[in-house]
Amino acid sequence: MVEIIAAMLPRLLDGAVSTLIVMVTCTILSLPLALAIAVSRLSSHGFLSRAASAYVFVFRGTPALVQLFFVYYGFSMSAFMRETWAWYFFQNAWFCSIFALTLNTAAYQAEIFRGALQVVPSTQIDAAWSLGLSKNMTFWLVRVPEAFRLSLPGYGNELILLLKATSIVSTITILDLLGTAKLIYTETFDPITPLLLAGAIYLVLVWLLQLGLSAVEWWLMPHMRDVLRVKHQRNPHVLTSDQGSSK
Amino acid sequence: MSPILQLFALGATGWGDELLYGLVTTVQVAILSFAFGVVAGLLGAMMKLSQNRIAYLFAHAYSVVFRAVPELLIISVLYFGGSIAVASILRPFGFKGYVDFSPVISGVTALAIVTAAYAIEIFRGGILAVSPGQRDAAYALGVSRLVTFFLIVLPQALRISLPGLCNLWLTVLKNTALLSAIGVVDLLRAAYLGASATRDPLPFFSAVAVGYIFLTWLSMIVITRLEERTKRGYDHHTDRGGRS
Repeated sequence: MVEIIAAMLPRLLDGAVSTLIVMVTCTILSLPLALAIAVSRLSSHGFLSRAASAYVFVFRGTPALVQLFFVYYGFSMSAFMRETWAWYFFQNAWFCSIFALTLNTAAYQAEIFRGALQVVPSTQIDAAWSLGLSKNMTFWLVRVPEAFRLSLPGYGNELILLLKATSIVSTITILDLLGTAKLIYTETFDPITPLLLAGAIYLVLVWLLQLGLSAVEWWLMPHMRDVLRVKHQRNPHVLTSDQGSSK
Repeated sequence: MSPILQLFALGATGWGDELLYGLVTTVQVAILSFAFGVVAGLLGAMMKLSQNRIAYLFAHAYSVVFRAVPELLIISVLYFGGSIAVASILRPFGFKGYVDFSPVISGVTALAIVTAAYAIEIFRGGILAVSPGQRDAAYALGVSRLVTFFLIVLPQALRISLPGLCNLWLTVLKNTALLSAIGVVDLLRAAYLGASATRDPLPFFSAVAVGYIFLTWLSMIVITRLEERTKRGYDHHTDRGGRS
């Protein structure tokens, strides 16, 4: 058993590297896109905000797998694409995966950023204006940094969901973590060992990502550190017999 | 008749009826996995909040693991490994046959497992958000623990959990698309088959997108109605300490 796992592990870790490449690329590319969409949604320009709302509605209303198939099969198999340079882009499963997942996660992130931008206290903005900061400077130096801090919990959740969502790229021939596990299954006719091992690796990746996100939260929220230090209580008073102890 | 109408015509000539069957399968699969997942999630939340250490650890580990592992992996494990696992568990009891799970059964099970993991956290938050005073009042009136939980805490917790559950429903609805990877002929699979047969993928995948947006839109109408209904007696009064 140990030898079987030892033989599989290097290949699965190779797959995990592919998973991380897709994940990191999408994270980097989606950040400016999401911010742009969030700002457009909040803008007073009617067309811009309506277009951004439509984008968010469409990309959050359809499954990521449908978007991936749309890009990978829909674009590359269409006759009008084959004549142009776009075909070279859309025939590549890697480009398609990153393209589709970036557009997908940007829609979710845009909603998180929009919510955060809206709840930045208006007193902060008044203070910035009273100090003579221009509208642009107020936005970039006061509102965006504070909104990013407020959006950290939601943003972190979205990154974990993105890491999990990258598993769908295995359906379009990319050998990511799940794709490698399935390949090993077809070679050895043992589905359980490689898939459970891949599941364990996903668990470790999510755990590492969560550790990293908590570190970022710690770093960006110096004023909240006493709260962050307190571990979550189990709150065992709900279904218990010692009803008198509940506060 | 225009070519696009011909493509999506009902009957033997077009793909309209195949896509409609796919849409119905998608809805059925989503409702089944959501129902099973929510019931299991409520049980899990009760376990997670119980004083029994083992029950708590089990529910906690369950919600951590199944929220961290991709849905597609759980679906694959259950579909490819489910029959082998069940057969090997039954073997010591003299079972010699072969169990075969259909893609729909293993897919719904997998989605229900994932849904339950998220539902545990939603219900847990909802139950904890009910003011402890409600429970104390019930106990003071001599209501038993079980009755207090089911008739006093749970109804209020459900109202608080409703937005989370509605979001979960929308997630489940979209996760059903993953079942097309194991051969469930849902909306996406039906369109994929049509696209490969006609070599014209764009109209088919556009139809899938429209189908899912339609289902999301329909769900959102129902959700708005539900949330308005559960807010009866709460709006305008909550700010003044709940007096009406």
